[in-house]
Amino acid sequence: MAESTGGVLLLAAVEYSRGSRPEVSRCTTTARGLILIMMGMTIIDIPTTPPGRFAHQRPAARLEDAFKIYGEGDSAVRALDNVSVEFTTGAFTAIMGPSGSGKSTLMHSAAGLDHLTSGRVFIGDTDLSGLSDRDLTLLRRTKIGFIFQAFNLIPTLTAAENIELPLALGGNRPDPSTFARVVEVLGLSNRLGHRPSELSGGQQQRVAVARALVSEPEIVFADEPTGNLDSRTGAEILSFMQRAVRDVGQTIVMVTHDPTAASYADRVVFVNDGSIVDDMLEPTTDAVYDRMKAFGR
Amino acid sequence: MTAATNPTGARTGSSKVSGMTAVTLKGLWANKSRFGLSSLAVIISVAFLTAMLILTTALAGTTTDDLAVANAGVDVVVLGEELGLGEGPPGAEAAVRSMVDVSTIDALLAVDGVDAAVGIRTTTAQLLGVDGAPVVTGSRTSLGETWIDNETLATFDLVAGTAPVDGIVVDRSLADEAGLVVGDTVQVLTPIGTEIVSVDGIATFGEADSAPDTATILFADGNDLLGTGGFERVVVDTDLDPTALQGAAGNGEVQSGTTYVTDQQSVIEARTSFQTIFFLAFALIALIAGTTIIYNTFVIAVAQRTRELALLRSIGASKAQVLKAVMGEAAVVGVVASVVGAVVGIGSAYGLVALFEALGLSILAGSLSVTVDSLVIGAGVGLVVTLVSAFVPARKAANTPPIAALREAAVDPSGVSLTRNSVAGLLLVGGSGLALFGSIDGTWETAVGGVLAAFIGVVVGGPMIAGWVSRGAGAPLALLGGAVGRLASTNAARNPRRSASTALALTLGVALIAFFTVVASSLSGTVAADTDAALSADQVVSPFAALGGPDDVTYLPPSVADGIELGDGVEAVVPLASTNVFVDGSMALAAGADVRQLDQVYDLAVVAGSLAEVSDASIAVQAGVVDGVVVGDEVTLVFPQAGQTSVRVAAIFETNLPGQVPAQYLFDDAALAVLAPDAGDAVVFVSTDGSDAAQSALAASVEATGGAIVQTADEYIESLGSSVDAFLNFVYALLGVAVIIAFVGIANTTVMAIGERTKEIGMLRSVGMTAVQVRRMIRNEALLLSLQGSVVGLAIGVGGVYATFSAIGDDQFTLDLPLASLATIGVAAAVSGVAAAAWPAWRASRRAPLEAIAG
Repeated sequence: MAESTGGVLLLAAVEYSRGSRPEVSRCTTTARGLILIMMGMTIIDIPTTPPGRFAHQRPAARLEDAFKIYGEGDSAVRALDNVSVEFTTGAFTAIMGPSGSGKSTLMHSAAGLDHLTSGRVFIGDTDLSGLSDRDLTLLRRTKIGFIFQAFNLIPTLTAAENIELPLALGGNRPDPSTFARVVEVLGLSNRLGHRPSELSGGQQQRVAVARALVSEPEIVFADEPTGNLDSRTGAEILSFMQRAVRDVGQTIVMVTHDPTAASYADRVVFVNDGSIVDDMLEPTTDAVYDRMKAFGR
Repeated sequence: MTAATNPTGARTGSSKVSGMTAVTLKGLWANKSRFGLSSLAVIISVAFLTAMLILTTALAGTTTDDLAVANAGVDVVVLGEELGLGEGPPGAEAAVRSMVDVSTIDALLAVDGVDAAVGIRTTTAQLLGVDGAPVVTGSRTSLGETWIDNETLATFDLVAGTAPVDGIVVDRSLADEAGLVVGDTVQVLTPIGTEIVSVDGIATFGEADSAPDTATILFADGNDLLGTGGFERVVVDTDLDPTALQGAAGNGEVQSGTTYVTDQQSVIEARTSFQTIFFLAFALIALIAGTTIIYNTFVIAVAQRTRELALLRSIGASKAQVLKAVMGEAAVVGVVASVVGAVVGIGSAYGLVALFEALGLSILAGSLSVTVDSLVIGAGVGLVVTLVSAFVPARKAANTPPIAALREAAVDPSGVSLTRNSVAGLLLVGGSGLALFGSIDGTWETAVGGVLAAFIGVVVGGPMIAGWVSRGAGAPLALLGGAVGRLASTNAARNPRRSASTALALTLGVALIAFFTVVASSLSGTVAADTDAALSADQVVSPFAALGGPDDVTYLPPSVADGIELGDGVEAVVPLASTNVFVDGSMALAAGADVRQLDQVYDLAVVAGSLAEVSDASIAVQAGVVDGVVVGDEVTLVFPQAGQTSVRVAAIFETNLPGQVPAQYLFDDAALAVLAPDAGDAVVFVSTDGSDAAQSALAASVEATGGAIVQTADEYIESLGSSVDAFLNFVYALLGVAVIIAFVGIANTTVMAIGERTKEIGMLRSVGMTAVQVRRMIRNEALLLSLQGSVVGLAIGVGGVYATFSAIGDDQFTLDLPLASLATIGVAAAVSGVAAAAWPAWRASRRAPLEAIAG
C-alpha cells in the first residue's frame, strides 16, 4: 500500500514537474501537499522506496524532510527542497539530474559530508544530525565507502596501501579474504605494488573502487565514477560495481549524468531543482535518456 | 589573467605590457598568503642586517680622527721596545712594549731643541663607589693615565674643574655614565692599591668625549696609584727630527707624533673592522637563511602555477614576458619586504642593544644613530637577494612549454639526479676525510677546508639526505603513528629538493649553535673542571667579575690580601698575582704565589721537581708549554718592566692554574713582585675551618677594603664560566634570528604543501581521517623537515669543532661535549618544526572535506 501510494504521488509530482521550469519546485510541493491531504496519508508514506526485490530490506541510508538552502532571503537557493528518500540495502541506486539539480548535494548530505539546513539523515540506524565532526569521520571510515570522479588516490602510497588506507586510519587491516577477493575481482593482483602514477586511469579507478569496497561498508557513494574515463574503461568499472551489488549485496549509490552509467543501476532517482521528481526501476539507457531529455525543455 | 587572455591586449604593444603587469599583480594578490610568509622571512633578514649595519656604524662612531686631534701638539713619541703582540682580535692585536726608563726624560731634555718631554704612565684602573661597588664603563677599557701638565702636549682638555692634584680627572663619557660632577668623591682601584679621591675635573679627549674605546682616569704626575716604574711612553715637544732623539732614547723606539697616531689608529680600525665583520657575519647567516626561503617559495609557486603559465604561453605570451611577470612578483615582494624590513631594523637595533645589556654585554659606549646608508644598504641587499633567489625559478617558469597547460600538474618525482648525488657524496666523504686528516695531521687549514667541503656536500646532497631522513625516521614514525605516520613520511619524501632547501636554514642555524656551544662548554668546562679538582680552599676572594668589556683585567686591591688576618678560624691566605710575559715574542701569563703555601689551597699536580725548589731564580712551568723542557733547564722570559730574565725550571706541573689566571709560568710571589711591580692580585684563596666566625671575619675584612667579593669555592667555580656563558648567550641571540627565519620557512613550506594537496586532504577526510589525524600528519611531516635540520646541523657543528680544535691542538683546550645541551638543542630544533606547522595544520584540519574536494 505504502509503496504504491508513493508511486502515485511521484507520478503526480512528475506531471507537475514537466510544467514551466521556474515553477517546478513550488508546483511539485504544492501538488504533493494537496494530494496528501486529500488522501489522508501520513508523512511516513512520503519516502520513495522502490518496490520489487528489495522491498523487504531496511534502508542502508535515508534522508527525511531534507532541506539544504544556500543564502538567505530572495537570493536563497534551495539545493534540497524537502527531500525524503531511502537507499535500500543491497541495491545499486543511481541519482540523476541536470547540472545544478541538487543531485550531488543529495549524495554529499546522505554521506555525511555536507550538513542539511533541516531534516535528518540516517546511515543504517545512525542519525547523522547529532554527530560531532569526529564521530562523523569515524562513521565515514567504518560504514561508508567513497569513489570519486578524479580517483583521488594518494600519489605516494602503493595501490595496496591506498586500498587499505581507510581501515589503516583506524589502525585496522582489511580481512585478508575480503582483500584477496576484491583485488582478484578488480584484476589488481599484479598491480598492488605500483604507485598511482604507474597506473592507467582505469586501473586507478579500480584501486579507488577496491578502497571503497574492501572495508565492506554499509554503503558506497560514488560521485561520477566514470566521468574521467573513456566509455570502455567506464563500462568495466560499472560492471565491477554491479557485481559487488549482485555478488555480495553491497549497497551503492552513484551520482551520474550519463544514462549509460545509470543503466547499470537497479534504480534511478531523478532530481531536479532540489526535489526528487522521478524514480525508475530496472532502468535502461534509452528510458533514462528519454527521461533526462524531459528536463531539457 | 583576464587582461592577458584578452586577444586585443596580446596584439597591441602598450596594452600587452599592462596585460602582463596585471598578471603579475593578480598573481601576487591571489597568492598573498604564500608571499606573506616568505616576505616575513625577507623582512626578518633585512631588519637584522639593517640593525647590524646601524650597530656597526655606531661601533666605528668614535672616529680615529680624534686621536690625531688630541695628539696634535705631540711632535715625537718615545716608546719602549716591542716585546710581542698582546691580546686582541686576530689582526688587531696591539703591540706590547717594554717600559721607557725614567732617566730618558732627562736625557731628552738635555738635547738642544727639545722644549718639553713628559713621561706617561698607564695602568688598568677602575672606578668604584665609595661603598666599593664598581662603576660600569660599557665596553670601554678602563685606563689610568698620567695627566700631561703641558698645554702643547696635553691630549685631554679640561671642560670643568681643575687639573688633578690629589684627586682625579675623568673623561666626559665616564662622568656622564657614572653621573659624576666635579667635587664628587669616588674610590679608585689600580693594581697598586685603592684610594678614595675627589673628582677634580672633567676633560675631553681633543674634541671627543673620550679616547677611542677607552674610559680614562687621569692622575697627577707622580701619583703612586700609577706605579713608580718606567713610562708607557714619553711625549716630546720639539722641532727636531725624531731620528735626532734616538741617542737620548736609548733602547726605546722614537716615532714622530704622526706615526704614533697612525699606528694607534690602525689598531683601532682593525679592531672595529673585526667587530664589524663579526656582526655582519651573523647578518649574512640570517640572510642566507632568508634566501633559501624566498627561493623555495618561488620554486613552489612556479611549480604550482605551471598550467597557468603554460596557458599564458599558449595564448601568445613570450618567454621574456613570463620571466618578467615572475620577476615582477619578486620585485614587488622584494621592495615591500625590504622597505618594511629596513624600518623594522631601526627598532631592532635598539632592541638588540637592550638585549645585549640584559645579557650583561654592553657593546656600545655611545648612542646609536640611524644613518641613511644603513637603511639603503639593508633594503637594497634585501631586494637584490629576493630578485636573485627568484631568478632561477623565474627562468624555469619562462621555459614552461605551452603543452604543459594540457598536462596534469606533475609532482616533482625525485628531484635528485645521480650526478648531483655523486658530487654530494664526494664532497661529504672527501670533506669528512680531509677534516679527519687535518685533525690528526694538525693542519687546521685542512680541517676547516674539510668541514666546509662537507657542509657544501650537505647543501648539494640535501635532497638525498632528505630521502634518508624520511626513510630512516619514517619507519619508526609509521610504526608508532600507523597510517598517519606512514602518510607523513611518504609526504615528506614527496619532494626531497623542497624538503632539503627548507631544512637548510635550520641546518645552518643548528650547526653554528652546536659549534659555539661545544666551544664554550670546552672553554669553561676545562677551566672549571680543573679548578674544581685542584681547589681545596673553601673561600675565594675575587675582583668584581665581568665589569665592562672582555679586555678588562680586573685586579684586587693589594690591601685585600694584606687585610685578611690569620686566626679566628682563617687558616691560610694565598694571593695569586698575574702579569703578562713574552716568550719568543708570544704573550703568555706568569703567576706569582707563595709556593710554600700554595699546595694548602690548590693542587698543581707536580709531575717533576718540587714546588719547594721554586725561588728567586727558579720557577715552575706547566707541562707541554715548552717543548722538551725538563727540570734544571733554563727558560728565558721577557717582562714589560724588568725586561729579559732567564730562570731555571724547578718543577713541572700539570693542572691548569685557576680560571682567572691560567698562567703557564709560576713564580714565587716575591720574585714576581720584583720583575713585575704592577702585577696585581687576581684572586686570593682562603682556607678556613668552616666556622661562621671565620667567614664573618673574612667578609668584614674584605668589605673594609672594597673592590672585591667573597665567594665559596663552589660559587667561584660556577662563576668561572660566566663570561664564556655571557658570550655564548650573545652568540645565541644573534644566531636565534637565523633559527626564527628557519621556523618561518618551515611554516611557509607547510602552508604551500597543504595548499597543493587541498583535494587530497579532503579525500582523506572523506574516507575517514579525523581532524586530529590530519593535524598529526602535517605536524609529522614538518617534524621530518626539522629533524633533518636538527640532526645534520648537530653533526656538522660537532664534527666541525672536533676537526678544527683537534687540528689546532691546544693543550689548554680539552674538547668537552655538553651532551645535555646538545640534546636540548637537537630536540628544540626538531620540535620547532612541529610548532611551526601547528597553525597551518590546524587550519587545514578545519577545512570541510567537501569544500576541499570541490576546491
